[in-house]
Amino acid sequence: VSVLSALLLCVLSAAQGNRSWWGEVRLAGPLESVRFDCGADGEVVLATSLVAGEETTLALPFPVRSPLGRDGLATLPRPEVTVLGAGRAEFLRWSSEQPSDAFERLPVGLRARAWPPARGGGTLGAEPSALLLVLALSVLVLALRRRPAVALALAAVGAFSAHALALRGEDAGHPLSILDLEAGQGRGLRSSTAGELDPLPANVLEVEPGRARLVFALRREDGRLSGTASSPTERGARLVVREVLAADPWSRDAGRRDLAQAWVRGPEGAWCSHGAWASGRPLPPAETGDGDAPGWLKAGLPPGRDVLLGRFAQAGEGWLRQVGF
Amino acid sequence: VSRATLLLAWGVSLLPLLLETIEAEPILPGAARAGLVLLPWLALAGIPSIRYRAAPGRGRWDSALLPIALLLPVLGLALGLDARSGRATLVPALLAVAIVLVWSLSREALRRGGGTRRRVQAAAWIALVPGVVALHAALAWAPPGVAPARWAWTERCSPLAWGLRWTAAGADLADAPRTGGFVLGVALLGLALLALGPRAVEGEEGA
Repeated sequence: VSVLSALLLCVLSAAQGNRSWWGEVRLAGPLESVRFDCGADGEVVLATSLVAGEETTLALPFPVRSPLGRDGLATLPRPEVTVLGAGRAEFLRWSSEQPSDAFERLPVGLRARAWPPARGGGTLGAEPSALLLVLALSVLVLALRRRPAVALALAAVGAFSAHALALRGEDAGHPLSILDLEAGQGRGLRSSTAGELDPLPANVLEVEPGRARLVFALRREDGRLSGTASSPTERGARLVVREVLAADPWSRDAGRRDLAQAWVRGPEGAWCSHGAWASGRPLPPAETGDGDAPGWLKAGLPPGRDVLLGRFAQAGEGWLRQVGF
Repeated sequence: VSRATLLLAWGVSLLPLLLETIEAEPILPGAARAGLVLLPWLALAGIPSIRYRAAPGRGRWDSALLPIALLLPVLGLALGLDARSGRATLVPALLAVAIVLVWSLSREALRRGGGTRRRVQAAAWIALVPGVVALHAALAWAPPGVAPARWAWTERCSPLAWGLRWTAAGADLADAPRTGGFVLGVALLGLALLALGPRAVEGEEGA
């Protein structure tokens, strides 16, 4: 019973939440747009520009839910195809090689690291001061409507001010990225979370809440795919893209990047803050206090091992978490 | 543009930003905020009027600049919010402002030009703004393969269709400058052709 439970857990833990399963489709021109409807799970909208007589087969991600992982894909209904244009489109089969395979081969410890809270700081929308500025300017513009040139000059200055005010602070909708590493693995796991993300690099794509309907808006141009995944119907939905990196990007060979802040935990469990750590330089001496590393970043790490936590200096690169430093 | 139309466009353009701030959630996840702000202006900037009374001492530029002056602060805020969330929307936004200006100018110029020109402007607005969007909505409902692909290019002429595409979740903004440039080109050409036409009968003004 224990073995069966463990096996079931292994099967369900990684694969159940994945919402990016790849399938092969055949397209024949002339085609402008193809929609693959996956029912309540979501849809894929592919913009393409196939001319008459052109035919191609390609693999696309589909946002279907497969409770039994890749083995359960064969039991799922095939996506319903709608085309815009006189051409044809056909769903052929689920891909035999799924990107999620690489994720499932990672050590369990690396796959099960803690995540930030749903709103990891920052704000959505404008600051009240920026909105008040816009309202005040609009009233002034209306008051100056008989002198439009003056009103326009005032509005231009106001637009720059409102733009600058809106840029202040951190946007909660901006992707939050974490690079997870485990010593000796030679591989890494980059995870990004936001309300809208590129689904194509994802080995695994998860969404909270799990029932959220997903839309993959993809574009194929010059044989190259690009696109975004979002949940237009589920407000506040959060997507998580997990990308397995074939090499350790933090290794000395790959070239380390500057950390704006570094924290180190020894095997005994005590945290030390080391401040900023420039690449190519030795680790700065420990500062007093245990620093202010976010709680979610420290949570659930294996005891008795060295740990390095860091915040990358370059904006948008996010956080580093290495066990076995 | 009448004061009521101006206030309507301004209110509708500000609404998404206001709601996003109050509810701390994007109104349309994945949509460019600048696109949402510009959509009502693209729809209403050239709206024809049945009656026209020129304000004393006001030229066509005066009337056409007022919508831009009202639009700019809201657009500045939206562009800032887009930039903060990693979306570069400045170039398509500037194109859209130029389109709003051309539509406003054409409306003012042709309204002052008399009855015939007013009717031409009204017909152009109905065909390009609600007309093309309605045509595409009708074609989208047609069964696969029935909708003629040759109508697809018309979408590139309509500022409203362009704005709608721009505000769709996950819209690819890389294509926006090209399409926006095409819309602007069509609008400028139309304005130039009409401006070069026979002069209006002054007596018709104010009818």
